[in-house]
Amino acid sequence: MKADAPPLMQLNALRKTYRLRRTLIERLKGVDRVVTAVDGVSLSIQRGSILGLVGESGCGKSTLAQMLVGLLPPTGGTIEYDGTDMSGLAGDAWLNYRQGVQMVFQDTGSSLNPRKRIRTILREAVAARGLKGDCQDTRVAALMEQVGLDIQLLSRYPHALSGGQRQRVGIARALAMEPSLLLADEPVSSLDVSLQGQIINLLRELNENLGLTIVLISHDLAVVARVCDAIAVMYSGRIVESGTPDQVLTAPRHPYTQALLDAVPRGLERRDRKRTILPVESGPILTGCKFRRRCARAVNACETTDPKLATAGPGGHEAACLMVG
Amino acid sequence: MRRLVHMFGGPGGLAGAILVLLIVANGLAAPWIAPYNPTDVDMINTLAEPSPDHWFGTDQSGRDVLSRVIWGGRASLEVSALAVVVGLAGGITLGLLAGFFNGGWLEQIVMRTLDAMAAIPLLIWAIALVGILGVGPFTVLGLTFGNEVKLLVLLGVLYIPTIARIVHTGALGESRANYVAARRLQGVGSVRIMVSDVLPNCLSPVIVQATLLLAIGIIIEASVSFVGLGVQPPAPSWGNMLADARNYLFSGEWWLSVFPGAAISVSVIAFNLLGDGLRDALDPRHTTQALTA
Amino acid sequence: MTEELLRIDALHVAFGEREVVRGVDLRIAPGEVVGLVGESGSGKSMSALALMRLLPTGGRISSGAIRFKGQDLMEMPQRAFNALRGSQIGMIFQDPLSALNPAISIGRQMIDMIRAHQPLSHGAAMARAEELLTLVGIPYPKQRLLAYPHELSGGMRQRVMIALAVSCNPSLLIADEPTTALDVTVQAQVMDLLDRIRTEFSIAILFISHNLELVAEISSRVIVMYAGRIVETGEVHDLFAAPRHPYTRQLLRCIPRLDGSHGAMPTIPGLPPRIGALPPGCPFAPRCDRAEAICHNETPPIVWHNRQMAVCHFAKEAVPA
Repeated sequence: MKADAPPLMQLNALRKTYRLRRTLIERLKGVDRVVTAVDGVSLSIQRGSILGLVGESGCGKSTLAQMLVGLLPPTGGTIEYDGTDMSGLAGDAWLNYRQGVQMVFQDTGSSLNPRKRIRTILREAVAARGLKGDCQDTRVAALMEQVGLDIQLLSRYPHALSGGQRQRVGIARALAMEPSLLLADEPVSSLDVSLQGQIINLLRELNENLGLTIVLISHDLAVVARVCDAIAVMYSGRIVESGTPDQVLTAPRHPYTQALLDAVPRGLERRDRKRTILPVESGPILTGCKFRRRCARAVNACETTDPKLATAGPGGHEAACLMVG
Repeated sequence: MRRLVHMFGGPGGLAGAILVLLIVANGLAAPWIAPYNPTDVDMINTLAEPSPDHWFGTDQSGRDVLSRVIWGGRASLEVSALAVVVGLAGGITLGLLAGFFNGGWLEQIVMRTLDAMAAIPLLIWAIALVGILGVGPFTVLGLTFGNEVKLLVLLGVLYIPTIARIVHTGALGESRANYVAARRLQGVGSVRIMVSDVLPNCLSPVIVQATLLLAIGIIIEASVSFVGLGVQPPAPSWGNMLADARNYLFSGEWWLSVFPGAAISVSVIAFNLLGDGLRDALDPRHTTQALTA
Repeated sequence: MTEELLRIDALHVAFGEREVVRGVDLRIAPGEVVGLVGESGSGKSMSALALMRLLPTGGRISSGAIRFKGQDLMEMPQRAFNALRGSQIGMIFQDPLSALNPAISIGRQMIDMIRAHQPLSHGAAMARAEELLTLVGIPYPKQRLLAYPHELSGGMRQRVMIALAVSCNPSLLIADEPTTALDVTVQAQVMDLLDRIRTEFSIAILFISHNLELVAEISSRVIVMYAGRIVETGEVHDLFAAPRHPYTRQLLRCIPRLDGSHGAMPTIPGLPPRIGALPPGCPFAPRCDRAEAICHNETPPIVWHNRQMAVCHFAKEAVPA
């Protein structure tokens, strides 16, 4: 990793909590019921890199993504974009941030307005960027070419496109904002295997050719391993392990990362391997390590001590586990 | 023809659409198609049976019943259509705001107020309020309005909760769709997103409901005019024609009640058929295109 | 094959004029696990839904024959079929939430299901339900019987579905993308459970998935579908070691693997054909890396090689994946 250059985005102890609806008695007693979705995430996103964010549903990665793009305000911590704290931004500076950090969504069905033609969807995007008149059409055509779509599709409605084509339109719409950071939230999980590679490769090309920084949220470790420069594994609102794909996926240090890797179906290589099956999750954990009840290596100390992300190997490999180090 | 049937959600919907078209045309063209002036009194020819001169006969003042049914339709339609317009304007605005800014105080205030409004029976409100405000024309800002304007504004206000709830449900779902998030990321303002992205996607059920409310409006207009609080005589309306016909129910002058009564029934059925048809036609599952997507 | 549990011959399923399944043959022996692989629109789910008489509105079986334990399923009256479905054939879906009634507790649904097919008292059915939940690895089964579907996690719901499906000791389980909506670690749990259920009940499974790795893990025989047709079938080892259809071959290459490789991912160019707008000749020809002129004009033949079948003009050339 290019640690010497300042990161494009720096997250410092970012938190997001939700207050649950309370019963009348709880209100009278002044009891607060709070759920922590993101629990103190610190992360640097290097300029021009692809960062893979891995974790299961409910681990807080989508909440984190929404905070990154500014759709959700953080409860605590800061997001520094290009060296400035985004919480104080207003007016043009805020618009600059907002348009500079774009998102590609998982569900290709709801990410495009069903009642608008592709042309309208893209025109609106370039218009929001300040282009007018004929410039709009030129730019729209250029965007379509950039994402590998035939301009004939411009007159179609989203439902007349395949999932892969819709995802390309979603990428084109994000590119219209000339972003410096693109957040792709499970961009291929709703697509067929034969088309997943096409979208992932498109993202790679954008990273290489435009220097676009990409955060790729995915549950598919193999995809992440293939294209990312850095990986962060999330569990229960925290980052439990981070490093390069080689570090994290070939020499995982956190038991959760190991379990995750073990769970990847690999029937084509090793059909009769016996894998460890994680026990079922049972209730929230308030003290100590959040993973301890499912962890085979948990000891007494895990119940009381909250593990912090610490060096787990050379070259910036970090893990949050007491058994590491 | 098959496409037309498909467009209105089946043969019933198409029949409804054709009838509604005729009813609307009748209302618009009343001055030209009515054979007589509906208020012209002919004391020589009172209570005449239907004949080639007076197809639907004449009433107790010798007025041509056919002309009165035609003009009465215009009045009914005017009241119920304008009431729906008032209801749509209020309901869409409130529903859209409450649905789009969901989870906030605005949603709570708007929706709870509408709940309270909806808890009060529609017809009784209309009658009570016209009764309280008094019958007769009134003047606002130098403009004089007929008595029926009170009725239509009241009706419209009472439609607001129904429309607002439908829009609220739609907007609630749509505002969470990713295309709305994408628009936000483009830096587009909330009002713009609401009007150009969210609203068009929740209109289908509103159109259906508006059609059904038109039918209800006709019934209410007739009912209110029947008790003398709506369209004021001598101007004709289906309701006040029926009110006049009350006195002749058992004396053999059947045409006085049958024709306006039939007009009400046919229009209500027509709007209901159209509404049900549109409900089917606007249902996304109605088209088979979803299969290939 | 000497003994057949399920036998489907030349099944055609159509929506109006559009054929989504165009001649599928399928045989499942008792206790056998058959994997059915294909992309969306390949007709794999439609075949299973047709078999269960669960086709979406507008869909119908236009021709073909389905026999289960020697009985003709196509001719069977609805009442008899309903008794069969659920007691002898169980089914689990991708989305367990939509398959469970949200307003009725898990226990109630299980008891109703058990008593619909078995002459048990309420108490006995409840005991059986509890036993089943324990079997599928749900902790605190007694309390969970009182829970409503939305109170359970996705993995738990799928376990309940499996418990429901096996409640009457069926001889065939149809699993349509049972783990697609689940996380990898939960997917591993459910796959483990399916494997256990299979050995414990010696139940045959038709495992439908787009994920070749998963299919390879559990199946003994695999069927690959493309554009409504079977393009290749064979024993799992043979088929994945030496695929004879270029589609299987190219699909295998596309699967991202954790082997330390970096850079561009292999892809299959183009898009699957639209239903109702199939190209002449082989439907895969426009995307195929092995296609020649003949592929674009002539329907490929069925070529058998030992116990492996491929529908391709060049199926004789076995190429290692």
